[in-house]
Amino acid sequence: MPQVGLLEESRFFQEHVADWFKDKQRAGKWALIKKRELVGTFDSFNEAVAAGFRKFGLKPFFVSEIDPEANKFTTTSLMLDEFLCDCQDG
Amino acid sequence: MNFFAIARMADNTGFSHILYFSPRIRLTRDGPKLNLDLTLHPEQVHALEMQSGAKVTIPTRNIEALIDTGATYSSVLDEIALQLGLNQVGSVPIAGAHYHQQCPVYSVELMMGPFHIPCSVVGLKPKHKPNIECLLGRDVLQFFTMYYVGPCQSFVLYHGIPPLYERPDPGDRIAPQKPPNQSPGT
Repeated sequence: MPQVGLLEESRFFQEHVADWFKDKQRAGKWALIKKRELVGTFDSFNEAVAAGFRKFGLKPFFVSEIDPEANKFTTTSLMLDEFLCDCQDG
Repeated sequence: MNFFAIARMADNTGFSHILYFSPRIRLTRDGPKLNLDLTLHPEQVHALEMQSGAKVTIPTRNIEALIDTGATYSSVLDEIALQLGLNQVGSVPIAGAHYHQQCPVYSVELMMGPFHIPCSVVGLKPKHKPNIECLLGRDVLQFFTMYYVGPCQSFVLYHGIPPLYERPDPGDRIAPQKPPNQSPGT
């Protein structure tokens, strides 16, 4: 299985997203995360990405909407099931 | 890509400024497909230019996308994302009946004719070479209205909401306008 970056950030997001979502100042905004630090929250994806490029240049950084249902990928493409079924890692 | 029209639509309040277009959406065995261009997110281009101190050549790739209204996010083959040099901005678990994997998320700009949509895409890593390069999910489709014209066996994709539909109040579903001179039940 190939390496996927930003796993530390992804875990940090999953650990805290429920708490952040309860905060009306943060719910629905976009989080910019690096390592285990919430760098900032922004009104839109593009604002968070712009801040990420300004602060971290061309290095990876984590951006996600502050919503417990965010960061979950679903699809109805039946072909993906066929193509991905051999790539199990969990 | 062929675009039939970009026009102002007339309505009973005069000319509104709704732009509409009809990219050639093909109904294939897999579902409706269209071609679009994929390139770096504008902020990544800016960061590249800041780093190099000069204008940079922006890599662009024309890809075939399957419209998937059941997909939460748009996705592309990871190899395409890596070839273009897209910047990673996330990591998302994807799960199905027979698989579970963690996939990278990249910042990107999708270009559909005159419409440039900065957004994110999930990088998919299929084991076998698929005949789908890109899934167009609801994160991008939210900007469009699509309908199927059965007699012509074709699709029409509008940017925004076409004049036939009323703009809904927040939280309401989109309801079609009642046709003029038609009483209920006719």
